[in-house]
Parts: sequence; structure tokens; C-alpha cells
Amino acid sequence: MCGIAGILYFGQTDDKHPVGQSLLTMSECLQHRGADSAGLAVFTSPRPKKSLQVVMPATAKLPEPQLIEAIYPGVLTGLRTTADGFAADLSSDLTGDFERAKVVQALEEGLPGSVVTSLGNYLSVHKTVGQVKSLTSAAELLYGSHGIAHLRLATESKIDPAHAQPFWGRPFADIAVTHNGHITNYYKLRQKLEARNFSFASMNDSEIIGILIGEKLSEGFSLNKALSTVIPELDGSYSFIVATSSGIGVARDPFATKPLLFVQTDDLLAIASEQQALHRLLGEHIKIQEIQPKEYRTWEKA
Amino acid sequence: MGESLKTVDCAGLTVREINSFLKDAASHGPDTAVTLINPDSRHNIAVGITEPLDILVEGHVGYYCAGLCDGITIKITGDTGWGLGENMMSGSVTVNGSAGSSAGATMHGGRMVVYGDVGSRCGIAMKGGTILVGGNAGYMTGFMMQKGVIIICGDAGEALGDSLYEGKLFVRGSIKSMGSDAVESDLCDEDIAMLSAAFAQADIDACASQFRKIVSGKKLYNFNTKEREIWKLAL
Repeated sequence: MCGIAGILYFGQTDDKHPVGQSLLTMSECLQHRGADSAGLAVFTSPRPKKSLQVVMPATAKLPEPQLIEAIYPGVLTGLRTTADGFAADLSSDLTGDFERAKVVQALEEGLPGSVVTSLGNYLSVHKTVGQVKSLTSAAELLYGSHGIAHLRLATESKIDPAHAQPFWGRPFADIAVTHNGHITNYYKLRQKLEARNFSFASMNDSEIIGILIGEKLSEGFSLNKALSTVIPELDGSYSFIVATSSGIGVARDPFATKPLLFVQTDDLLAIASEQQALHRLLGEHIKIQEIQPKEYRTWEKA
Repeated sequence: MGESLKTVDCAGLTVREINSFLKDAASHGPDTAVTLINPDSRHNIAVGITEPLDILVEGHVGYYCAGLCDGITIKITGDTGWGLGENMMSGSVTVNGSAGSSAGATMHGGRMVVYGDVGSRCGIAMKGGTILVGGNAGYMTGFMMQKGVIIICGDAGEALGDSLYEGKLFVRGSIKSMGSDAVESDLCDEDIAMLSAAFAQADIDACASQFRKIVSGKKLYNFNTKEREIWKLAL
């Protein structure tokens, strides 16, 4: 099953919206759709430097900062511990997605069991195994312009933070996806990407969606154009929400096997698997619309 | 509606408690009526009630509302989620708002009226009864229906009546595309009388002559090697 949700506050400059709290409110209504893991991806005020987030295994002790910095010397600065690992800024000398991918790979190899869960100027990802209420204190502090959430009912692959959603579309900065469904040609698509030196954080089929879209965006495609190019490559059932630094996109498979509803007002866009989440956030008197079979569409935050 | 036995505030009650209350109320006789408030878009409300009961739900409900029921009369003032009135045997389901996918799935009898829109696969594998949609109907409406009537006052989505065996679909608005083996047919006097009665009963302003009728072409009844292309398309 799985539950997905998204929120986008329209406006050019104001990125101080309670995105985390809004996603939490919706996620609590979608909890029954999956209780194996939960996660939020929020696009916050831009940080001057790109930073990355690393989740460490629960049993692992975090190495001293200088040991982490030594894994890829001269690149990581401003190391800070987080609830489940650490975050660090990337040197601005590091340009290009594949330069950054090398750092990501080196960190994961140097810190066994670790996984890089986000990278970018805006993106902040918080995941937990179990119910979304574990993310309450983190969510309340997450302000920004937009974000997405996921409640997972695992039907394949492991249950751990690395396999929880939303997924960062590695190695591309500031892209995340939350997906309900199965991508049935995942292995074929993954093999093609691996042959081109892409790396993956998990064995979860959903992870590939953000990577495919991220690559199109890096080639200069608009999000809308990227979706129109990637969707024909995907086989299986899907309702997904993709978020980038500039906005949100959604898509639904041709058979509409997974639900996806939305409400759009002058001020915001809210998306969720089930109507209760939208009512809880916006009240009873709202006009709920459905994303249609094989429909994809995008919204810019400004 | 009969005399209202009680208004039940669903807030604070589990769905099991709500449904147990409804079952108990139904055992008080056919004129019993219940009003549910604060349904909060929750799933499985008013499921499995097999004795007559009048239910008014004030607000929105989630998935499978009024499923597996026989003989109840239920009116929902808001929207509903997926699987509205699934497998209902007889009775009446009315929705003032819109319904999600698979409304009236495998329904055997009775009457369903949705004044708003319905999602995909409305009346899938329907085996009897009538579904009247005031607004638009989504993708694959009437998919594999075996009996019964679906009336759509607005537009119909893609693959209307795909692979239907029997039954009739009536559409006033546009049809995005016809499903496999769904064909247009002429309205007969019996259809006009039935449609007119349905509109009058639901207080919908429509005229039977504005509707197109869609039925099964019955080419998928038997496999014919000379018609392989039809099967390729259908499957």
C-alpha cells in the first residue's frame, strides 16, 4: 500500500512555512497505509553551501570529525551531528553532480553501513523506521516552501533508514521522490544506470524514479519535460510525487492502481493518498481533485 | 427516513463500535433511522448491515462505505473514498458529493446515486442494480459488468464499458473512448421510461433523449481464431 503526501506553499520569497508540521499532520492520517518506516523531505531556505546528510547504523559509533573529513580530504566542512548520523557542508570547489557522487561513494565506503540520504542547498530529509510520530520533534522545526512525505508498507527490500522514503535522487542535488507502488522493470533500469556508474543507496525500486528524473533535470529539462521523458520508461504501478528546489511534480500510472488526490488554492497545493489527510490539514470545506490515470503535472512554487 | 433513533458522534468511537451500533439499530425494525456525525473520512463505515436501516452520514467518509450491505438506505452528505457500496445486494446509497474509484463494484442490486463525479472503474463487475452519476465518470467505467445499468449525466473517461458482458450504460456528455467490445445502440421506449423514472426519483434535471446507450458487442463471448486482433486488444 504505502501513503504519500506533499505540500507546496506558493510565493516567491517566503520560505518560512510550516512544511514539516503540515506533512506530519497529513502523514498521521496516512499512518494506516504503512507503518514499517516513515520519512519527510523538506525544501528549506537555501544554505550558502551544498550540504549532505548521512545516516549511520543505529549500533555504530560516530567517528571523530577529523576522521570523517579525512575520508575525502579538503571537501567536507562544518560537520555536525544529527539524530541519526551527521551532516556536513561540501566545498564550493566541488562542482558537478558526478564530482559530488565520488564524495558520496567514498563516505559510504569509508563508514560501513552508512548511507547518504540527501544532498543540496535546500533539501533536508528525515527518516525513521516505524511510525511517523518518531519524527514529530524534527518535523516541528522544518520550515520551508515545500516538501513530501512517505509512510511505507514494505513489500520488498529491507526495512531500515536506507530503504525508507522519500528518496534523494542521487547524485543530483535537491531532488526527492515519494512513491506508492512498484516499478516492475526496476532491475533492468538499474542495470543500465549502474553500467554508467550510477550508485544506489538501497535495493528499493522506488529509488530509481528520482535518479531518472534528476538526470533529465541535469540535462536542462524542465520538470514537466523530465516527467514526460521518464514516465514511458517506467513499468508497474505508481503514484509518485517528485520535489525539486523549484516545485513539485506528480504522476499516476495508466491503470490508476494507486490513489492520489490534491487540493489547490491560491496559497498552497496539498497532495495526499487519501482525503482524510487533506481534510485534516485544510478543513472539511475544500474541493478535492484526483490526479487522473496516466496524468502527470507540475507546479512551480513561484 | 424513519424516526431518528439516535444521532451518533463518530468522534471517539472505533469503526467497529460505529458498525456494531448500526447493526444493533437495524435489529430494531425497518423504520429505524440513525444519523452519524463527524465521520472524519474514515474507512469501512456502515459495512455489513443486512437488515433495513435508514442512515444519514453528515460529512465525508473514506473507503468501502456501505459495502456488503443488503437493504439499507444510506445518504452521505459529503464525498466518499474507494469502493462505495461494494457488493451491495439491495437498498439505496446516495452521495451528495463525489465518490472515489470502484463505486458500486460487483453490486448485485439496489440503487446508487452520486451527484458529483465518480473515479475509475465505477460499476466494475456489476451484477445488477442501477448507478446514477450526476457528474463525470472516470476511466474504465462499467469494466466487465454483467448486468445492471450505469447512467452518467456528465462525461465518461477512457475505455467506457470495457469487456462488458451484459448491462447498459447511458452517457449524456462526451465519451473519451469506448472500451473493447463496447458498442453504441439505440434507445428503446423501455430505456426512456427507465431513465425518466431514475431522473425523477433522484431529482436530476435531464432528458432521456440526450443520452447515448452503450452495450456489449458480444464479440468476446466466444474465442474465434479469425478474430485474434479483437482478443489482442482486449487482453
